[in-house]
Amino acid sequence: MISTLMRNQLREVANIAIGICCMMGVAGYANATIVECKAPEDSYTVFLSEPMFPSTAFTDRGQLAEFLERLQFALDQGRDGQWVRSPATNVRFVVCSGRSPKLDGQEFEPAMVMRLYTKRVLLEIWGRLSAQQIAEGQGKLSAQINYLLLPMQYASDLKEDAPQALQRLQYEAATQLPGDFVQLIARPLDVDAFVAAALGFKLLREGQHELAYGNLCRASALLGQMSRRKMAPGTLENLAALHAFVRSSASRAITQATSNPGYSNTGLLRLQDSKRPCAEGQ
Amino acid sequence: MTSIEDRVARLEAELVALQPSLHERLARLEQAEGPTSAAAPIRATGDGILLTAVKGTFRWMGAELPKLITAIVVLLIGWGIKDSVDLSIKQRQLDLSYAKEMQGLLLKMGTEKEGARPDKIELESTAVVLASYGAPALPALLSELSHGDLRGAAAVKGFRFLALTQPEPVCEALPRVLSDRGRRFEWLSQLEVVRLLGESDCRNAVSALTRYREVVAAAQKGKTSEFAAVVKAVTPIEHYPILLKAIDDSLGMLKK
Repeated sequence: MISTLMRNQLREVANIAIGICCMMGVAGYANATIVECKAPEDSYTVFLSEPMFPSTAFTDRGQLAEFLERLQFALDQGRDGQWVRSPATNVRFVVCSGRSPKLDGQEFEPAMVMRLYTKRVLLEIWGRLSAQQIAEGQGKLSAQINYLLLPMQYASDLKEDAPQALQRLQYEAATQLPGDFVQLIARPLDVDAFVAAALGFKLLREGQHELAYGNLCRASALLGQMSRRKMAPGTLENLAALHAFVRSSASRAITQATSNPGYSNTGLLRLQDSKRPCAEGQ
Repeated sequence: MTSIEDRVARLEAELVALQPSLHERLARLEQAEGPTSAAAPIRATGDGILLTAVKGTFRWMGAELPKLITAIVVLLIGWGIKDSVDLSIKQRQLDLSYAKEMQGLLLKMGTEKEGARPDKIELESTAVVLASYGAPALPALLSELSHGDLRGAAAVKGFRFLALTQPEPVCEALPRVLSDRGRRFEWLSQLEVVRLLGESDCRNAVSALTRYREVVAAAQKGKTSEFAAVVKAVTPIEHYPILLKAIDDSLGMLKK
């Protein structure tokens, strides 16, 4: 009896030791800060996470918070998004305070991506900001912004055919200091292209073929416009792969809808050609 | 002469006429008893003293004897179980002290600190430390699992480490997540539980997994009522194949 008690106590000590060792091992990613960000239940969501910033960009977290709020307003309410809207596909932009992924996105493990995907999170946006003084009162703002298209990442994790989900774009602008990062980053064309692509692909997976087709073709048009800008070769290559994927997904939407016995004979997709899924020029 | 005198005279004559004689017969009887005849009286005496003493004591105790026997039986039983009762009391005291310490860890997982929510690494570290308390940590980990967000993911990590050292309580507790009529768990949490049961070799979970598979398969065909009764929110149809594959993988591992 006494030896049983001692065995139990020794087992408890061993468990605590294992726990401490595992805690030390797990704490190796201490630089990344991934906190919970609540996605609204009644809409699709884009997460605006905190970028990394030097003191030349923001002097304190208060300025960072103000920037994120203005960015959220500009993207969420200050304009009409160019993706195909419907009452059932409302897209909201949400600020995720305290959430700051690593630039390479290595925290986005399959389990985490699956959770975000099932919560209908389409995109997570974060990056790195910097400001440089060039002359008196004149400066250069630059930003490296990451756009993680979660439906594409989810498909990739399931070993399905999918393009590079993490799209990384560089923005620069000469400006009078202190400058406005919201103007630099809130690029409607870029954001809407990625939102439309992610939303279209997710809708395709959910079986909403007509809405999927509309968003995928819209994404194709916007990505085509983006590709005409001067960008780094790697960025252009990734965009091109995404563009090709979006078009092939639009083709799949047509094929899946028209081969479904339950799809209406007068459905819009019956008028489309799966070999040329989107209109000329898109 | 009286009739009595005649009778006595007749008896004497018969005894004298006995062949063998009466004396010879007695001598033969004594020879037949042999060597025991000397020892037997001594043994019979020792046993007789003990027996006599016991009988005497019982007679002396009278109505108090049943009480004495009861007291002796209780003493023996109490002496026999004393150590196990001590162990049980000490175990409960240990559980209580663990519960107080675990409360601190749970607060750490659930509350903001200086305006900042606990991040993923912190949550996972806390869950692993929680798991190091062993079986007493199971209710706490199940509670975290029901949250279904980063806290739920951290709880899964805690379960994984707990199953390494104490698989039996884990295997006993987890199958109930798949049939929780309180609808506290998301399908994603149930998916993680399905994987955990397979990885932890919980052979007792085969029937629970089989039953869960039937429910999910029916939901995939449109009959969602049973699945809706055990999950927080019914999953979109695109996720059923993932659930079914995970269940089949785990059943495959457990039936080997």
